[in-house]
Amino acid sequence: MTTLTNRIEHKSIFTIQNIISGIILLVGLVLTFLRFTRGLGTVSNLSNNQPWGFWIGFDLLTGVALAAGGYVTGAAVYIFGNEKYHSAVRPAVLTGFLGYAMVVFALLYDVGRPWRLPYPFFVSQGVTSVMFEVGACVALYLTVLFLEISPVGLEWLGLKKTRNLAVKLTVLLTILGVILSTLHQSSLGALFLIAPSKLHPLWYSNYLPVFFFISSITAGLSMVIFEGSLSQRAYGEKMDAKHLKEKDDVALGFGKAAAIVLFGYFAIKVVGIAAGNHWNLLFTPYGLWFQVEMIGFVMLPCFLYSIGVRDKNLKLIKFAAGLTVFGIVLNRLNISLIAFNYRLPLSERYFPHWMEIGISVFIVTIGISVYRFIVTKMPVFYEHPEFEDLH
Amino acid sequence: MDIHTLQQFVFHTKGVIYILIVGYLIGFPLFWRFLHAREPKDNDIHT
Repeated sequence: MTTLTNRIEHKSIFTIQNIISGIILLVGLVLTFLRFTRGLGTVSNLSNNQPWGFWIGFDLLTGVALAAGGYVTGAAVYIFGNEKYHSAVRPAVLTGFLGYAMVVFALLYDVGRPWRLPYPFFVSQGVTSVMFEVGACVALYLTVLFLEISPVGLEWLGLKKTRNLAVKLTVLLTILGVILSTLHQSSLGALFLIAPSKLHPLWYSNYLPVFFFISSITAGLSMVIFEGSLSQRAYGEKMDAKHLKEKDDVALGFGKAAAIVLFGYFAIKVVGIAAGNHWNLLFTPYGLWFQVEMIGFVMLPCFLYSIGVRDKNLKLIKFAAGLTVFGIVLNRLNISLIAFNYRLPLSERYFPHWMEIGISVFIVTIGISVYRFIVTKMPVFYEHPEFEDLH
Repeated sequence: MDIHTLQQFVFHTKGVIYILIVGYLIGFPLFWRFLHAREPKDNDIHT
């Protein structure tokens, strides 16, 4: 471990990754300055027709879905008792925590008066609003994730007593995490129930909350596999024997679960079309795009996962995971941007300003940079020598 | 099928959904068998 630490400490900080991250962060700071000094109009194409743009579609809807790995892995290990996936918990919870933290951070840019973000809790509680429920759940779940990941920081700081107390709360926090995730992952879909005339009928359904929740499970499972494969490449040297031994089991087990959930997700999406009797729309331009999403990013990854699990082909499973993650991004963007306001003429349609995309890239880069810092310094991919066998 | 009333719409859409569900009830066990077909035989992992 000492040799490893020395090797990492003597590395130059001017790596290509760091230089690119540095440039993005600098540009992001300029864009942040513009956003908070000159207002939303300067950096975004948001309008009364489209008050929710790229920041909500990508940073929030996609961010929350892809951060579902935390509750999915926690449930698999601590509720369903699959101890063989234990090594996946910390990376998944860390990704979840950073994902949600970035969602809240992105909201500061999107909300017109960000200093009023706590208003729904402390000043004017709109308890009958779905948005209130989403806000409350995200705030509570972010706190839960922070407590769940806190043993990592506490071990790093050497605070044994506090760390042991935090570890004792694990099962309770996992149960809370599953409850809160079930509530807000589905409620994010429910937000669009208010706009049946704006969202294209192939994407709009009374079952939107169910679609969002089920797809968040596939997103979480796939994200754990996808991120695990990237982490292994970048931080393989930091992983201890337990992580290296369990990573194949995690990919195979989660791949199998993802195949089954995708199969069910495809089924309920078809039921959604049948419930609205929208079969005639399937061969319109929007319908063909819907088929691309359903066949290319639901049915195909389901099939690839199945083949991968049958043949124990990890490369195929990882590819299917990447495809599913992309499919989730596409689904959330379809619902919030592409198939939204579909009746408007093209000239009035929303297209994100480059600065909106720039700020999203900036926020993602912050998340990745913090992730890199934490996994480099703290016991995420390995067990802290002083706390081995105490998990 | 021509649909003129809410009753006809519900009858038609529910009918299609019931047929789909029967299809899935048959399809899911087949998919499950397909997924688990090689489990006991082959434990090699190809990376």
